[in-house]
Amino acid sequence: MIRKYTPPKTKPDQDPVPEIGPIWIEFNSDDNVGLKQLRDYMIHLSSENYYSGIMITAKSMTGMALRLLRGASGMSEGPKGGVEVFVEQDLLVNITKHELVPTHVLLSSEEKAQLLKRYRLKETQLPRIQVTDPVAKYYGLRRGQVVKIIRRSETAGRYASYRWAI
Amino acid sequence: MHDNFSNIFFDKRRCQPLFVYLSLPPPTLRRTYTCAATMADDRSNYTPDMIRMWRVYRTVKEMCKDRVSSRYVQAHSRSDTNNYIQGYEILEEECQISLSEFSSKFGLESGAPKSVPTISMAQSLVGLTASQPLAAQLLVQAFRRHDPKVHPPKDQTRPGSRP
Repeated sequence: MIRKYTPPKTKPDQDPVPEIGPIWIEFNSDDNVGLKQLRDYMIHLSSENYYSGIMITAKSMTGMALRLLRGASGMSEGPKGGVEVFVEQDLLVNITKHELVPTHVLLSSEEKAQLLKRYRLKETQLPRIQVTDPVAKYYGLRRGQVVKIIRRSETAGRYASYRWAI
Repeated sequence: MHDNFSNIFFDKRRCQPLFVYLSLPPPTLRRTYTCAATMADDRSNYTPDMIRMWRVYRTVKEMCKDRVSSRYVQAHSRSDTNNYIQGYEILEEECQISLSEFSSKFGLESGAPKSVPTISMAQSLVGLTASQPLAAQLLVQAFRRHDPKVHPPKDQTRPGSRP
């Protein structure tokens, strides 16, 4: 897991820090979730030194709060890993257990580099998956990560394809 | 003409497609899903709100567990497992927590109908397993918003829930 979340080595940064850490999960039962609740939550996360957070709300958030959330990773008050918000309704069943949902596997940066080298691709040439995709949200995909999707195939047994998260 | 129609995909005598077996993997490979609705728990004892919270809780645990994807690690880099840490390490039992356990853990008046459950604090989990030098402990905690320990109680009842 650590390796999966470690960014590739660059010249100035020979020993990159894994981008993963303690996570705080909170259930919010307020009737409407807006800027105030989200701010409280972010402040709580950063004061307690959590890396990222998941908030589960009973109702969907207001538009303003969503807008704040989109810019959250760059914000000074929010936690480093960003905040994910789920509506309770979306988590009642585990969607990845459904038989029609194929296996998704997150690739580490090294595996991604190998993949691109093997097929002589640039990452922009890969098919894409949105980070707002339900499965992508489930796995908490971040922009630029690549997932391997393994489907079963009648002719080949199993068939792997790759998606670049945007 | 259709009577003589023979197709490699259909066995006329059995009247079923031959590729049925191919389209489904053998039972050992099929993923099984234990449904959250177990008959062992008498549902009438719990509020719908409680049942809802319980299902969400289980999914969240599974979600954190899946982000590790330890299955992949085992399958693909057996020689390399020491370099991986199972980050959010969550036991299978925690994902499979039963409704009665859940309500006794989080419900204030567990099992009592007409009472709205309030989840207090769920301290679970769990440190590191491998020897990688990661300063921060990876842990998962879940709690209900109106926990008096964390937030001063504003409103104990949950709006929108049925009595």
